[in-house]
Amino acid sequence: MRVDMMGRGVWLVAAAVVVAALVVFAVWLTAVVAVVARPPKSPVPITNGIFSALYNATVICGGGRKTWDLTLVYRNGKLIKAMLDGREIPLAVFKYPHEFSYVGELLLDLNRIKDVNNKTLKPLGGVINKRIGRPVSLIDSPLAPRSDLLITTSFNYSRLVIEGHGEFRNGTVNALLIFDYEAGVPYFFIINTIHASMREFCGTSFAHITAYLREVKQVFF
Amino acid sequence: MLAMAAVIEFYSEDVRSDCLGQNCEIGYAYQKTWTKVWYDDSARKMTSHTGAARIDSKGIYGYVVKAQGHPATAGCIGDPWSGYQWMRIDYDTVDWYVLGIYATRWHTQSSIEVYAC
Repeated sequence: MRVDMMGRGVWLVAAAVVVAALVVFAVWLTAVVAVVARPPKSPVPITNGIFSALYNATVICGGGRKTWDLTLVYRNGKLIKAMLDGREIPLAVFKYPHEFSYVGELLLDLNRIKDVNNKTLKPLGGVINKRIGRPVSLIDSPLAPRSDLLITTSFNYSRLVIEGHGEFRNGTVNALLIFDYEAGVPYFFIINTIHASMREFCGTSFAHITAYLREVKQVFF
Repeated sequence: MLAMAAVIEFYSEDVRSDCLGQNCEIGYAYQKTWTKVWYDDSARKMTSHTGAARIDSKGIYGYVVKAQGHPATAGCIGDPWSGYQWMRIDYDTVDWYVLGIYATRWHTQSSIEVYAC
């Protein structure tokens, strides 16, 4: 009789432990489902090199930090028009006569992304790193990338003077591009620029622009 | 008259976090990018600077650092018409996983500008 009662007690304790474990697991599973079951994002539309991409751009410059819309219009993979806060900006913001941010140069011609490497950047004194990874959506972007080519560039300068625009002394400049190569669209990028047109936005010619993709539209020429 | 030099510390940070469960026992994700600059206001010069990330995870959350810049940009930037500034910008781009199957990417960025060129 006593042995029977002891045996029953052991079973009760075991049952209670199982129930408690199930409750903990249910709470845990609910939390996991809550995170995983976030509404799915639309994939970045596949383009044929002709498109208009709208970005959310955070600009850090002499005037502090501001957020504007940035629109890049491409034809055959080449940037043909750029607008910041609804105002057209010169393509030279991304370009020559400096390699201040080489990623800006890549944004000008997406066809160059595939072939750019350290041989390209060595004569300019820079370093580039390219790697393909799992596509992961940036939390703030409403679009999910189809593919992920991550590019970083790095340049060091003792003095870089861009006549009529500005200068950079004793510093380092790094840039980033996450390119959705399946869609053919830059998904996320960080560039630096020194260009007189930035004074209208920043008060100074320097701007550090971080932008993520919000929308891609087909355009007709 | 004795002039005392004062070194001022400037600090900037950008934080993102998530907590699952009452005490984050199910999952915890924390990502901070920070920047510090020390500035000598009598000499009007930047004396030193630093910046880094603090990334913590617990429970079902895991992470992979995708890219970071410490610093992303640092140096004296400007032009003769609008003046020069010493600037440092830091960033971290991190992929967050739930049980290794779900991922989202967080980007945090901090920056400081001082008139020290």
